[in-house]
Amino acid sequence: MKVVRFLFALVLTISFFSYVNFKQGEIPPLANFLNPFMGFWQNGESERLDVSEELSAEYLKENVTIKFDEQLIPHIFAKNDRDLYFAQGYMLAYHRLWQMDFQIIATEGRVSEVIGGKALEYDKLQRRKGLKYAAKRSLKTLEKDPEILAMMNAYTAGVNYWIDELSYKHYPVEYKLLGYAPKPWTNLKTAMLLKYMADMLSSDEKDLENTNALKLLGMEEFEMLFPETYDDIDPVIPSERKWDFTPLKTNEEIIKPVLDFTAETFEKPDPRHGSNNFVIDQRKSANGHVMLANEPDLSLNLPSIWYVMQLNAPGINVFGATLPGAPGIIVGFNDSIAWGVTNAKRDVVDWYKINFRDKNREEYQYDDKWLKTEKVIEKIVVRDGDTVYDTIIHTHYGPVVYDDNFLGKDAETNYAMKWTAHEESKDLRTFYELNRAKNYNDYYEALKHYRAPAQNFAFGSASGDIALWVNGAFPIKSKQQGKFLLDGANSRHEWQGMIPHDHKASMKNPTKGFLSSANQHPVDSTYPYYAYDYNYEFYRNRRINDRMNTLNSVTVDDMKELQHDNYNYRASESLPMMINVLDTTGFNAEQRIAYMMLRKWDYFNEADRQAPSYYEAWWDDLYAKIWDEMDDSKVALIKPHVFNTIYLMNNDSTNKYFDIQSTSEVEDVFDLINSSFREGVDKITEWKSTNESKSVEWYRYKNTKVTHLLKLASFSVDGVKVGGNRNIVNAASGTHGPSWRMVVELDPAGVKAWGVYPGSQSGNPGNPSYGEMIDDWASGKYYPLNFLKSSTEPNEHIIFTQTLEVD
Amino acid sequence: MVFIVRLLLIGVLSFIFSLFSPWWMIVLIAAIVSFIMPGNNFSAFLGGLLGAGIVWMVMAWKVDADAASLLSDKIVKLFPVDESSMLVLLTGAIGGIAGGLGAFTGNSFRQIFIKKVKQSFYS
Repeated sequence: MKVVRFLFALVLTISFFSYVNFKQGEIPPLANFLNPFMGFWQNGESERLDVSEELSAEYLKENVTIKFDEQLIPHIFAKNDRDLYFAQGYMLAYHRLWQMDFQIIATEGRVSEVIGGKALEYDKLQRRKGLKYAAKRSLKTLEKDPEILAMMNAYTAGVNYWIDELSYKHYPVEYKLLGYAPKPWTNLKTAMLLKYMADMLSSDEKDLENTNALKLLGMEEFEMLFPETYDDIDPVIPSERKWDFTPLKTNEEIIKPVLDFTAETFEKPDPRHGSNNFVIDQRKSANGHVMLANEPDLSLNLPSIWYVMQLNAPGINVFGATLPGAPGIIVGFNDSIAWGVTNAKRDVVDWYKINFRDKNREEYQYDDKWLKTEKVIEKIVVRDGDTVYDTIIHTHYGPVVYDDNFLGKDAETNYAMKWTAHEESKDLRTFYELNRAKNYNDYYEALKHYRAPAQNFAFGSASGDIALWVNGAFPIKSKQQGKFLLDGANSRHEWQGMIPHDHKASMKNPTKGFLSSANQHPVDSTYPYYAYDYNYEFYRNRRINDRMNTLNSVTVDDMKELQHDNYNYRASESLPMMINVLDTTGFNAEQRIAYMMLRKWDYFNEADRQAPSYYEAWWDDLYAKIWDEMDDSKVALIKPHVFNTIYLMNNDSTNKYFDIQSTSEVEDVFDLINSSFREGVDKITEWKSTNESKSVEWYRYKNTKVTHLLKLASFSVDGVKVGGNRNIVNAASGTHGPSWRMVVELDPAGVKAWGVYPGSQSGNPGNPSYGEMIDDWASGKYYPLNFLKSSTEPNEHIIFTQTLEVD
Repeated sequence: MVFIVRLLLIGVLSFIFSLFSPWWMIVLIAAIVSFIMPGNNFSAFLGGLLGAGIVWMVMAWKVDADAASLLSDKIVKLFPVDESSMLVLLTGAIGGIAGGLGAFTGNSFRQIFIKKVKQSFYS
C-alpha cells in the first residue's frame, strides 16, 4: 500500500514537472517562466539604466569608456578600432540581444525551430530566396578585407562576451516566453543582417503579376494601367544633370517575355517601405552651413529597427543610427560630413523560367547546351514536430524558388530568381569608410563597394559640398527586360552586365542649392540606361522639392518642419475632382457634415483633423471599386498605382475599368465617386459607433501602431497621436513610418544634430524606458544629439559612465 | 512542531537554493526535508505547499513591487487573468504545488522504510 502511495506521488510529481518545465503549445514553460528567482519577474527593471560602473573583458587591449546620455544613447570611447567594435557589439547585445538574434533566425528561415510548424512555409520561402546562401557568398568577400574582418571579429566577440555573461535569469524576456536560448553570434550572422535589409528593401517586385496582366490584357491595355513614367515627373537626380559619359552598349532587341500564368505568388515586402532625405548647400542655408535631413520609413516595431550611438577612437568619431547586428553606423554624421539613405527602388529581381532536361532536374537548357544544376537539401527543424527537408535547385541565375514543391502548379513551372543581393558584396566596407570620411572624395570612394539594397545616398560636408548618388548594383537591361518572366533557356535574356559606377545617376552641387530623394524615379528619360520599378513614389518627392524651391535661407527648424510636413498631395490632386462631381441632393446629415468638412479642408493630414479620415475612407472605397476586376481574377494581379488611378480619373472618366463587374449597369467614374462617397461616410459612421465617439480624428482612425516583433499587443503601442500617412512626407501610416529622424547642421566650428525615433534604446518591455521616445517622435520633438569630442568633455546630459576594463 | 520545523526548513532552503539553482530544486528540497523529517502524508504535503509556495509568492511580490509591475502588467495580458496580483498568486501556486508534491513524494518514500523498521521493532 505504501509503495503504491509512493509511486502515486512520484508519478504525480513527474507529470507535474514535465508539464511546467516545458513549453505546452503557446504556453511558456510555466515553472521556469514564473520562477520569481529566475523567470520573467527578473526582467522587470526599476531603473532605466542598470549597468555596473566597471566590467572587465579579456578581449580588450585597452580600457573603453562608455558614456550614456539622457536618451540612453551610448557614447563609446576606445583607443583602437578593435576595442571600439567590441564595445559596440557588447552594447547592442546588452540592449537588443533578442531582436538581433530573432531577425537572423527569421532571415535564415529557422523560425519553425522556435515557434513550430506554423512558420514552415515562411522558412521554406526564406531558404528558397537564398538569403543565407547570399550571406555566405558575401561573407567570403568581406573576410578577405583585413580591416573589415577585424571589425566583424571584434563586433562578434563583443556580442558573445555579453551572451556568455548571461544565465537563464538574465535572458531577455522573449526567450523565456518562447522557451529557447540565445546562440553565439557569428560573422555570418552579421552578413545575414545585411541580407535581411536587402530582402526588406530590394526584393519587392511584381514581374510575375505583370506577366499575368500582360497575358490577360495585351500590351496596350497593360501600358494604360501600368505606365512606367509620365512626362513631368520629378526625379531624384535633377534634370539639369547632363550625362557626361559614353554609356555601354545594350542589346536593342525587344525581349519577348514568357507568357505563363502564375496563380499565386509569394508575399513580398511591404511596398510602404520608403524614406526621405534632403540636403541643402551653404547658399540656401540661413546661417551658411550645409544641412542634411534623413528619415528611413520602415515598419514601426519594438524593439526598434535602429539603435543610436556614438563611436569614437583614433581616426573615427561618428554618431548616428545603426542596425542591431551590423558594426559601424549606417545613417549619421561625423566631424566633417553627414550622410543619409533612402531606398533606391529599381527592379533588381528577375525571374527566369527553367527548362529541365528530365524529372531528375540535374540539367537545364541554355541555348543548345545543357547546364548542370546544384541541389541543396535544406533541413528545417520544427519544434515539437518532424524535421522537414526541402530540396532547392540552384541554377547559374540563382535558386529555383517556384517549382512543384513550392507554389508551382505543375512540373513545368520552374522559376529561378536572379537578384543583385545574391552576389557577393562588401557593403559593410561602404559604411566603414563613410564613418571615417572627411570630404566628397572619401564619400565617392566609399560608395564604390556598395551593392544591395540600392540606396539614394545623400551627402553633405562641412566644407560646403552636397551630393546625391543613386547607388548600388544595377543590371544593364534593354527596354522592358525583366519586367516580365524571362526565358532561362535563352542566353539573350541574360542581364547585360552591370552599370559602371561612374554611370550611376548622381549629382554634386546643383545650381538650385539642394538635393532630395523620396523613392521616386531616379532619373528623367534622358538617362541612357533602362531604369524600371513598378512602384515609384509620386507625392513625397514633389512636396519636398516644392517646399525646398520656395524656402530661402533655410533654418534647422525648417528642416525639422519639412520632415513633419503633413500635406496630402494625393488628396490635393484627387479630392477637387471627386468633390465637384458629387450629387449633393438627398444628402443626409452625416453626408452633409462630411461634405462640408472636405470642402473646407486644406489637404493637411494633421493628427486631430477629421477631414483626412473622411477623405481616406472615401478614397479607399473608391480605389477598391475601380479595381474590382483585379480582385476577381484567378491569377495573381496587382492594382494600378494610385497616381495612375488619379490620372485616369482626371483624363479618362469613361474608362471601362470604372464599370463595376458585379452590376448590370455600366458605371463611369462619376457613378463610382458618388457611391463610394456614401459608403465611405457610412464606414466613418460605423467607426464612430463602434468606438463610441462623436468625432473621427485622423490619428484615431488611422491608428498608427508600433508593434512588437512577436505581435504581442501588450508589448506594443497603438493609437499613436501622429499625423501624416503613406505618400505624405511625414509618412506615418498605420504600420509604417519614419523609423529614425535626423537633422544635421554641418557647422565647421562644430557639427550639431537632432534626432528621434519611435521606440527606445532598451528593447526590454520590462524597462521603464521601453518605447519612451514614441510620444516625442509623434509630436515632432527632437533631442539634441550630444556629439562629444572626447571622453573628458564635460556634458550635462551624460547620466552614467561605464568603463570596460582590460582583464 | 515537526510540521512547523519542516515548513520553515523547506522555506529557508528553497529560498537559498533558488538564488542559483533551477526551479525544480524546490521539489528536491521539499522531498529531502520530508524524507528526513517524515510525518503523515497530508502534513508533509502541506509543509511543502506552504514552505515553497510562500517563498515563491512573496519573492514574486517583492520583485514585482521593486519594478513597479511594469512588466507583469504586460505579461498578465498574455494570461487568462486580468491583474498582476493574480500572476503573483499563480506563481505562488506553481511553487506551492511543486513543493507539496516533492514533499509528498519524499515523505511517502520514507514511509516505506518506516513500516519496515516498525515491523522489525515489534517482531
